[in-house]
Amino acid sequence: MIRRLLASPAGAGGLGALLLERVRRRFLRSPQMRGYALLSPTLFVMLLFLVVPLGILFTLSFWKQDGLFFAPAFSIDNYVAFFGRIIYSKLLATSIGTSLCVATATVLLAYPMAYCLAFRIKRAKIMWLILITVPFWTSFLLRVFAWKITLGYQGVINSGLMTIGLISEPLQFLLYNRFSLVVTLTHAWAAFAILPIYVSLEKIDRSLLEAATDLGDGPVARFFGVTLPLSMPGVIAAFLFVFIPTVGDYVTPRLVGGTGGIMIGNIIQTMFGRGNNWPMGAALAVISMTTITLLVIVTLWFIRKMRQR
Amino acid sequence: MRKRNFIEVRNVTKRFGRVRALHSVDIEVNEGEFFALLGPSGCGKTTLLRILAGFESPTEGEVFIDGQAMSAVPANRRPVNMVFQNYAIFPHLNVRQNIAYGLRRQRLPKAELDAVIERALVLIKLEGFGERRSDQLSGGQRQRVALARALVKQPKVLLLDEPLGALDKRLREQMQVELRALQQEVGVTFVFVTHDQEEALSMSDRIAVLSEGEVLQVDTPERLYERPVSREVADFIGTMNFVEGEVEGVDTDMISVDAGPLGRVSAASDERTRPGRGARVLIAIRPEKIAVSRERPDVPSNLVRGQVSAASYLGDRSHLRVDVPGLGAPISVASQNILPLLHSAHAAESDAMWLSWPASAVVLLPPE
Amino acid sequence: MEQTKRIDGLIVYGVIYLGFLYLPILLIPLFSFNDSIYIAFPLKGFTLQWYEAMIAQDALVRSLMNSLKVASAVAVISTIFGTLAAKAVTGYNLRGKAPVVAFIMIPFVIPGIILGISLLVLINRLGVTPSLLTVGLGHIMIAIPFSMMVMISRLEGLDRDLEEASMDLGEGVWSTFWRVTFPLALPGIVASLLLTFTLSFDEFLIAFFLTGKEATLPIFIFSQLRLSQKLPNVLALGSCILAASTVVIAAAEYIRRRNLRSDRQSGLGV
Repeated sequence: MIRRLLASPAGAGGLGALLLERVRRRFLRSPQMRGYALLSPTLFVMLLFLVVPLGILFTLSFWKQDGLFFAPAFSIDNYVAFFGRIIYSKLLATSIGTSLCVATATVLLAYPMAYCLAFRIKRAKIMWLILITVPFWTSFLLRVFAWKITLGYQGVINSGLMTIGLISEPLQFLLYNRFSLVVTLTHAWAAFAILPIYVSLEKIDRSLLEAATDLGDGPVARFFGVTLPLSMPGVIAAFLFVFIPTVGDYVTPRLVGGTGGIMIGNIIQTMFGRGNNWPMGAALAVISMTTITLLVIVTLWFIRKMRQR
Repeated sequence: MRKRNFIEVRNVTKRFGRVRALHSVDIEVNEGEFFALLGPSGCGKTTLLRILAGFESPTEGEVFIDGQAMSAVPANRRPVNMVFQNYAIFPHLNVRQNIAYGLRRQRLPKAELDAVIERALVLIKLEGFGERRSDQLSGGQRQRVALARALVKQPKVLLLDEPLGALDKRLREQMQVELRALQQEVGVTFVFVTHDQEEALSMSDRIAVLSEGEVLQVDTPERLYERPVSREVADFIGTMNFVEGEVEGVDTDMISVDAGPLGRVSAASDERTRPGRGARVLIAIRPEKIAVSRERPDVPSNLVRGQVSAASYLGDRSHLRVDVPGLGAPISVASQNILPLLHSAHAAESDAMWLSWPASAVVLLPPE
Repeated sequence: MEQTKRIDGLIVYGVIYLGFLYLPILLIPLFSFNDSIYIAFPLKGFTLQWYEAMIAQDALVRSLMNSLKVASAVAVISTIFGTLAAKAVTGYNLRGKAPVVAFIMIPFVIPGIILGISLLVLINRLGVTPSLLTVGLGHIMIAIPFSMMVMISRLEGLDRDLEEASMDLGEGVWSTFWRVTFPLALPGIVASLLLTFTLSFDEFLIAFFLTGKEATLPIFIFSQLRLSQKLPNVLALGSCILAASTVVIAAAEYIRRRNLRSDRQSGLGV
């Protein structure tokens, strides 16, 4: 084909095609180049929709809201406002506290389930995995809504208990507080915790467990000596997978959290909505993300130190 | 005083669902013995080892170790330890912690524990490697850590599941020697599983040959090789020529057999094989016991003339295949190249040669 | 290892856990047939009126159509991107592979609200009005990591030798792709399409910030949650969505996990 092009009267066009062919050949010859070429569209999308927006958000956090517009001048007023008003940092702290609660509860509840899945369930394992995964993929909103109707003042639990005569007054503590928030979130993120733990348990070489038994361990000693340490990567991943997204959640607090269950996400959302102070919202977002990231890095560093000991 | 029958496997049968892995196996191992379980994959040898370790329980039968019945003793309380096929070095612990793993519940004072570990590290020649993690060790080092980890528990029996299978050839040969030396040093009874007959022959005091869940023969390496009890054993260990024949006469120390195309074959009789006159037997002769010559050797029997159909030169020895008229399969001969190769005595393809063998080299086996 | 005939406490726990996962969700279909505006026991009787009322809502039908449109586009586009990226990661021994994969997986570890507002800020700076298009773009960004994860766990199991064998047998790059790689990757592709579709279809956190005049279904549902007389309608709608999602996800998971025994090795095979 090249030859024919070159032989044609349109010699210049032929030359161009030759050049193109050269580039193409070079491209095909280097697997590295080909690999990155396949990656480039995705990297571009992630760059454009992830990195650039985060950069703009960061910049915006140093601007100021001026009526309907932004004043694009550098100022740290938003950050000063954050540290100046104790309510923000207190809210961030309680948000992180709640998320830690949720992540801990989720992981503790998920571990036996994952263990059961990895070591006890032999037949129909795929069915169990699907059963665990399906609720996770169904609408987050509907799952939260389900808890709202379950825990509500006149909800399923209260009306159910009253119908069978166990209580005469609806239980107050069920909805619109931190308890309902933790329960709902624990439910919502269950699969995210189970799957990483399950994978890390499944990956454990069974002969390591036999070796522990062979060396004198009973079931309990073996669990703490081998199984748990070897599944720690899964536990940590699960913990982070649950902890990080829940810090920024604003739907669940709004639907089931009530006034006592407000989280930092609600404030950020308000700043971008009714509050109409985007730069302040951006600053809150930046502070929250930085705090979370630092917390995660410090934790991981600490865990690594512990393990090297 | 070494105890006899230190390990007794009595009439052990193991079934997995409908699959029978072991069928009424009886084996006795003496104290301090290096005992091999040899057989092709799927013969049940690993299952037997796992029954000894306590990871499987026999469907029928019982295992005794040092006189104590094992069926009620869980794996973690048995006086045995195991070296796993892939060594099962705990990846989250370093060498020192791996070796110390089984000693945790003894709650030794730290100094004593350190001393035990240090001695173990010296024993396996890994001094200074105590802080390494398993992924920083070579295959041979991992194997030695697995050995040390099991030996510090001072087991009555050490079980080894294909301990050398994961190593490359050269390392394997080196470890065979080391393992044997180590066993003699510590004096622990070793039971090890292998599918490699050479490994079994070179390392063991005695070998049990298993096939399809049954024990075919338990014997010393020499007797297993020189005096196999069945065609299956003979076939599995080394190469063997088989010719059918009929017993003509039985003397006090000699049995003569009419072997058809092979003429009359005399066999030294031993206490085990004393077939009667007229019995059908299978004559078995190892290739290296057969002498090759151009001239007819001056012997009355155990002699046949054939034509070399293939000759392959292997340096120290040559393998020949010799067609004997009337015989279905060619006879395999392994001849040591003692004389320089170009010497005229060496056989080449299509040469006609005389084959002869001593009566002591003839094994008489039951017919198929 | 040890065979126990007695009832295993862990299995009991597993069943209870599944109950915890499913019971609250199953309340939605249960009460959607209840003949009462109050979502409370005792049940009052069977009715289909909430489903009738649901269908009668124009806004609902329109937001449903919007969601279907967005989710379809997101599924196709993110699966293409995710597949290409997964192929690059598994098929070539790329330098700097680990950080690249980690980078693409970042949306997993950023709270949805941050992703939402940062995209909102982006389109605001670019002067783009929020619309279904912007929702779709946001969803593509969060769907790509999912698609890539699914495709990596599928492609990792495939032997690179298979492609080389095909080339060796005289096939070119393209025909090798169509005759070998594509058919082998197909279950992963189907699973990825189904999963990313559902992801977009049910997504609320990001859509909330990026949506314009035209609402997606979750946005519509959220608006209805504030009106207590509309709650039974939401129950009916929720039941339909749950039923559809369950079927789609179960199918996707089944396709993905069937023949995929490499779960143990990959670690991404969740």
